Amino acid sequence: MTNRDSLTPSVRDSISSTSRFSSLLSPTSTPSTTTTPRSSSSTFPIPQPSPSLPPLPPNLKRTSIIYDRPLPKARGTEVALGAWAFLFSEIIQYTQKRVSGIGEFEKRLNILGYRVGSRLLELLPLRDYLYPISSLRSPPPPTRTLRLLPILSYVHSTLYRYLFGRPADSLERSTDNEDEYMIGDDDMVVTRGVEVPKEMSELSCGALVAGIVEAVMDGAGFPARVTAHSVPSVPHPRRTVILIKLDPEVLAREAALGGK
Amino acid sequence: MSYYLVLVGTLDNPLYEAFLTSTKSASSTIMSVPPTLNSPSPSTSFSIFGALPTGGGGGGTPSATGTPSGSNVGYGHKNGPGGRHVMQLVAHASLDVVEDVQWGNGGMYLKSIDKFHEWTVSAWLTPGGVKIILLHELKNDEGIRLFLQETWETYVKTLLNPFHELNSPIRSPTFDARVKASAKKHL
Repeated sequence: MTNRDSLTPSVRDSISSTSRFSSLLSPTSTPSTTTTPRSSSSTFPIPQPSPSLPPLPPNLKRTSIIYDRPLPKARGTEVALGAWAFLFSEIIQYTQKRVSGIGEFEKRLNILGYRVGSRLLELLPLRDYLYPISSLRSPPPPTRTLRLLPILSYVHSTLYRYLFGRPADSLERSTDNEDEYMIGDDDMVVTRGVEVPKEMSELSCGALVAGIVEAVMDGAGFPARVTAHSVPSVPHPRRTVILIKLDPEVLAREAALGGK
Repeated sequence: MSYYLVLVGTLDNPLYEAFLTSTKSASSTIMSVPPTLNSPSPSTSFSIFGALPTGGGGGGTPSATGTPSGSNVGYGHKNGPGGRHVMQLVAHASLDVVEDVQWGNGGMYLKSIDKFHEWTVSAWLTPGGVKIILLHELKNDEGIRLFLQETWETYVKTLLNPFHELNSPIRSPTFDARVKASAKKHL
């Protein structure tokens, strides 16, 4: 996060239609700033045929390696847990120096996760479609997830297995509030190296994973507020619960779709 | 034939748009064009773009000036500024139809969801909520599906760039070149 000024508390209160982070994630400038109107009588600017970047110095060449790299995930590219723990500890230290409270701390981790999740959400279905595991002659046309329970179980199983090599341990619906769902993880991989001090016991570094889940829910059309909470128990002292609180519009839509 | 492609972000903001043209005008796919348009040579001016056809079987005479003639009501030449605004407007209007359809149909490729005069609107909804909308005149389902799928793939690769923010306009010249190459191949 380079833009520190945008993390003022007022941002937290401004909930947009798609994401409470959208004001952070989207650029502030309007999309068509570089366009020039073709005729003076036009009301709307017509874009140039090709977007133009500033010219490079003649000795440099613009590369496009990200477009040439193949999409499938190669075997053996999993990140070692030690390397991850090192990176994550640096993330935590960096963040801790720049926040004033636990709420802000978790929000920053959440935003980092959101950036990961919004990419995974697009990448995984594309990969499954272009390079299916089973050798079917023609893969089925790619589908989107329309209902709440399939998207929750997608997060619980498919996404979790991709990220951590195994599905999450539980997926429950809250008994008190029907708009709340909980994904339980008895031993979250990302926070295995984290020991939270007693005076910060409210902090859960699983906020990173909560951000990933939030991005997936938001992008798939199920806007929700996702938080992570440490719920230690005797058999599982490191248990983390990811709480998904859905927006009312999602439940209304579920009810409307219910007959199908 | 000309095409108009626009990528619409999750906040209904435009990410990328392109006016594409294809050389495949008089191919066999012309058979599926509505009968009002089956002039032997592909016309470059249609009734909504000014220059109303006067005689029977007309419409094949392109308007040479490219501007709406004073006496006729219209939007000007298809490839002129007025016509391009019409394409933007049609694509924008089709967003409502996309929202109507998207919760009833679980597919990503939504073909021919909307029509406005000679324009047919097809869309590709990505799992992340980005809408890829294509205006086309010909019915070329398989080519359009492949083109939209490749556009999605190119978009995902753009998104994988860690310096590319979600919902920010795509200005990469490589993206532009890839989309145009794909259009040349499939459309």
